[in-house]
Amino acid sequence: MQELLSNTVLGLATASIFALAASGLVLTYTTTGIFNFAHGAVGMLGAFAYWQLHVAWGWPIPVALAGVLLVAAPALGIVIERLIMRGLHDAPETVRIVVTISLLIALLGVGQWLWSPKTVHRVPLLFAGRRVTLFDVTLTWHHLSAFVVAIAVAVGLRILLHRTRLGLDMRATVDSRPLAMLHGARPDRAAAAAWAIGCSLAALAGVLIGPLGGQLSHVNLTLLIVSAYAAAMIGRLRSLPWTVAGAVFLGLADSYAIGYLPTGNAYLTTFRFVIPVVVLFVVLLVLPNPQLRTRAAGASREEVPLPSWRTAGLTAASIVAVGLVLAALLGDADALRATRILGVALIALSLVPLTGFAGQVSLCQMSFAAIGALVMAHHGEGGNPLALILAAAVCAVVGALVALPALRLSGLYLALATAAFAVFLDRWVFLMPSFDVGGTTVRIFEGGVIGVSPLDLPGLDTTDVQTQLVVLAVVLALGYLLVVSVRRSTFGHRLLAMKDSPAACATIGLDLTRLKLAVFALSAAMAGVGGALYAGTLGSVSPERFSLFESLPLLLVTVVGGISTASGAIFAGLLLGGFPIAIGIWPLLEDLNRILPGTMGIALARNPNGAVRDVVAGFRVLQAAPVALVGLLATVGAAVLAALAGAITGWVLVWAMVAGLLGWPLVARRVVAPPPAGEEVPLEWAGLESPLTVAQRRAVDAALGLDGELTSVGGPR
Amino acid sequence: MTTARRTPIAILVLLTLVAAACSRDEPTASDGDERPRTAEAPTDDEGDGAADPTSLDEGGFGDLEGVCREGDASGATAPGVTDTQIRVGTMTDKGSTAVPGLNEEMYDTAVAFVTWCNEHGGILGRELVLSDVDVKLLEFEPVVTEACGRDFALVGGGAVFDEDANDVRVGCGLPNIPGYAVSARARVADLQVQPVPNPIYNIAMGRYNAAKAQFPDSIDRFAVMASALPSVLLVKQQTIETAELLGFELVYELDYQTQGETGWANFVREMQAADVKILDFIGQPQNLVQLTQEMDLAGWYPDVILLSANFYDHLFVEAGGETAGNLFIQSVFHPLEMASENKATQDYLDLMERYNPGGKVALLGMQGLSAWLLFATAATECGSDLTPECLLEQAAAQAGWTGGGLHAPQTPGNAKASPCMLILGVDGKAFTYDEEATAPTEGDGLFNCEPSNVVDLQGDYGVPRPEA
Repeated sequence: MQELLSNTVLGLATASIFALAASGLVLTYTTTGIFNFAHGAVGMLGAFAYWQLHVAWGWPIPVALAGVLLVAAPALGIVIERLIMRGLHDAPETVRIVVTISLLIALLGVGQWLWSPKTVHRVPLLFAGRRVTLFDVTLTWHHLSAFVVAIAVAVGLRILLHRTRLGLDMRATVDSRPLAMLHGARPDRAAAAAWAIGCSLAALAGVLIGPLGGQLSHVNLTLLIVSAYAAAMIGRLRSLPWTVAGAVFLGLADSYAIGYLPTGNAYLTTFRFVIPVVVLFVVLLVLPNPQLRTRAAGASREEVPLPSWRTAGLTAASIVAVGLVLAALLGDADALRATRILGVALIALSLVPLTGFAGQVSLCQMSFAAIGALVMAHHGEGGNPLALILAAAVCAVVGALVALPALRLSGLYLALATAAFAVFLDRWVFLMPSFDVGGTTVRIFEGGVIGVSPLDLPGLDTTDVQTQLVVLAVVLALGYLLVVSVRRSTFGHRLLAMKDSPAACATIGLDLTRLKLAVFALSAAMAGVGGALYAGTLGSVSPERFSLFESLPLLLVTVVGGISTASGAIFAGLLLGGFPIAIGIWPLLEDLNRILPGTMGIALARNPNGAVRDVVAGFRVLQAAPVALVGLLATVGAAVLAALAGAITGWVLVWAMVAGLLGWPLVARRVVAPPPAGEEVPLEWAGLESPLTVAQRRAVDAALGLDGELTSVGGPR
Repeated sequence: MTTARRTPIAILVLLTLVAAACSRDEPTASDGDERPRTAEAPTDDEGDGAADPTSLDEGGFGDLEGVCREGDASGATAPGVTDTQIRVGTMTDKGSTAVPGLNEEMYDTAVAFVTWCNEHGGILGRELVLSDVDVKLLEFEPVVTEACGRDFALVGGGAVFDEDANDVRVGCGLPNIPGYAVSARARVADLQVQPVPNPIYNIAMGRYNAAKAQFPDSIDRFAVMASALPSVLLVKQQTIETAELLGFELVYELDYQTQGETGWANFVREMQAADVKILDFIGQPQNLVQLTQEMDLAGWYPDVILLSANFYDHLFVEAGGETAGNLFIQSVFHPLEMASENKATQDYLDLMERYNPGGKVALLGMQGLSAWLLFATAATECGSDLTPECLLEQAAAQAGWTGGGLHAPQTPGNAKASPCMLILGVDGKAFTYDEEATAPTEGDGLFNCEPSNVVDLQGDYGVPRPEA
């Protein structure tokens, strides 16, 4: 009995931490409609800011607390709202998720930049560490105050949301912005207030939780969000009392697990680590999900282009050509880096049908890649290509299983479910030692690292790095063609329809279940094959490579690159694989690397189609100026030939190509004159860019079926 | 940077005779060092025959003379070796984005050593050129492949995922004298001589004997806590086998989450309930801090917490020194806190101070330095004919290697652990040498060199046993 009480007290202490984190999260979601993945990161910054004010600069505790909670954190919230979130009202769910994930990465990078992880940051406990003993358990006043504050916050928020004008404004703005404006609410002010309060609460959680760990840890505080999600989900992202109850449940579960699960069993002890995500998964499946506060996807500015077979063929050929050129030019070490780029691009390609076409957000692509790598490692000795087929099959099955909850979920909930799956694998499955099931031994990442052979094709020497490079380029080209064929097929059209309006699809009789299962299976299979090949290029892999924190940047960078085309995938590979190379050359980029993925995602808010589309649009102008096009090809060709002949070094080549790619479109713009007004302008555009001419008016009238009655030429009435 | 290469031969011969005469009067290296005496003595530019040839200024270190000196070695005898240069790489993870600065002290030490060495003539006149082999945790393939064609050897470094890094390295024939090796296959890798070996089947567990001696009635209440990482779990199994061989009884065992663990208070409660008296904690210092803080809150500590050398880290005492409790940290190195009593340790501090004042000073730096000294000694023995085979052969021949006095005598290689160890504890904000717990053996200075400190394991740990 004594033990039960002690464990309960300890569980409640842990629960208060989860409750604090989760309440702020729920508040932000209820008042802004955006699920803030960066909530933990804001808390982390708050904890470090408090250290800066109180420990480094010696401000007294109340002043330091006020500085963080009443000044710095709300200011950060307002900045975030103004610069980033304002542009997300019309954005599809995918973009919102990706933007907050990128904010997470950016803030984590900023935190590590400003307060180096190499030094110890200690924050003394509040109330000078005075303690009290309850049921044989000693707790500090700091701990108790965390508990009290958690309850106070939950109560206070409930009052704020349901009993004050501001709370009403905030909830109304989320529900329907135009209506709220009609009724006199000021949505911008409400949103700013919401973010300010949300960040302040996150900082409060950080300030209370941070000192409990001895020293402030960037990653631990940011990771707190994982347990907070589960508690927030139990509250269905809406009900604060249920959120607190959920936090209590999780805290007690963790405490009882330590107390009552048998120790010494490798499977059970580590199972404790995934209790929050299992609970999250179950909650997502079992509880009815409230209407998601999101705009219909039709209001987005996304375009999903339909590439012709000619374009696709050219692109695929150029991928292979680039692979051949790189193989010829690069030495072993650089060729290895290039194979990594291609490997990551392959995995990123799997996101295109799933997220780009079907609009299903997945945060666990790297997990599927890991499963593919495992299959290759254990069944593909020597790089047996049949193992690739097996990898695709196994991953397809797993993908379909993960899709089963997706049948009911969408958008945010699906993203959270896939994240839960990823964490489940990271923290439990990948740590398991091998075990026997009915006579066969199932082996996973035993010992931490497994060796994977590169793909072995008859007649090719794939131990040679350059050959691997070309093989990967060919596989990438084939993958690209597969994606294009999906896009052009009926299946692809159905996926796009499902993304646009699931309700409409159901109305016309499309089987959404089959569709979702199929696209998940396809995407998982592609990720598995990509993972198997990627692992083969690495030679050996450990689970860290495939964690949730690797899936997040992958999704982020692919979406920034443009997830509705394969270009996003290639961009992802280039960036994620290529940046380490650049850092090797210019170490200054190191710091930039930490926040770059984050800032790119933030820029997404401006243009959901991604960066690559803008660049490609810039190249369209070349089509109209053949001179410039020839010039570009000549420059690139000459540079490549010179490099092959050894006349110029690799870096001169790179600069020459960059200069060519940037310079020739500029020349083209100068060379190509805008079309003369009125002659080549389509009818619908008549009169918009230049004044209406008589001929245009006649043409418009004729098209409208009006007889020529107007004789005077004049301006608009 | 070669200096004094053009010193007239006559003076050279004269001074050599003088120096040789003087050095024969000085005592040889301590602890029964069987290192072969070098035939040539270092050049003494000062013209003062009483200058200490083991001092840093004379190209010596600790109790070693002529670590780096002038000579006329020549020939491009191996990749990375020319008439005038030897290219050597130091492997670290300092550039990783996840844990920036990881093991940077090894590179900082390398920079200091190479600068100092070249000032004194390099290795028999061949200048050392240092490559920064920064594998950034996961970049080992391209980085080590680059080193393959370029460097003669990897010296004084290490990597967290060294299993993979070693596969690439062995594949291209690059020899390794590492500062540390951590994963199973790395600890027994080919083409490698560790100055301070960390074998798999021969484990130095002197701290258990120390615990047994001090707390003989507590050995039946033994517990292990380990970080839930596969590589750490291997160490845990070895620990349990060793402890049981020494007579300890396991009553509680737990894996904790490396990151984001919140159940420390619960663990303390469980251990209290199981009446744990001796705890072995395997993992990172920052996690131990969280555990001991909860112990402090609960007012309960085990009799002793047993720790391996990686807890000898100033971040640990800074973060949680006051609540540390009774710790036995097992180490083979003279503690930095007692540098004034040991010339080699003081030389390390002076070396860093003079040649890399901004560099980090820590235990891994000393381990790296021992590797560099072994490299320099072995390469000097090889003379002009510097090849990987010769290097490794000579390195392995340095029986009783102490790094000039930095640490207890070792058998360089992969297979044999040294029985010598000392115990450090924490007293408030600093590490202290615990003489009572160490119980130093006669003639071994600070160390306890009881043969029973080393245990042979019988279990299977996934890698082949070395030949007997």
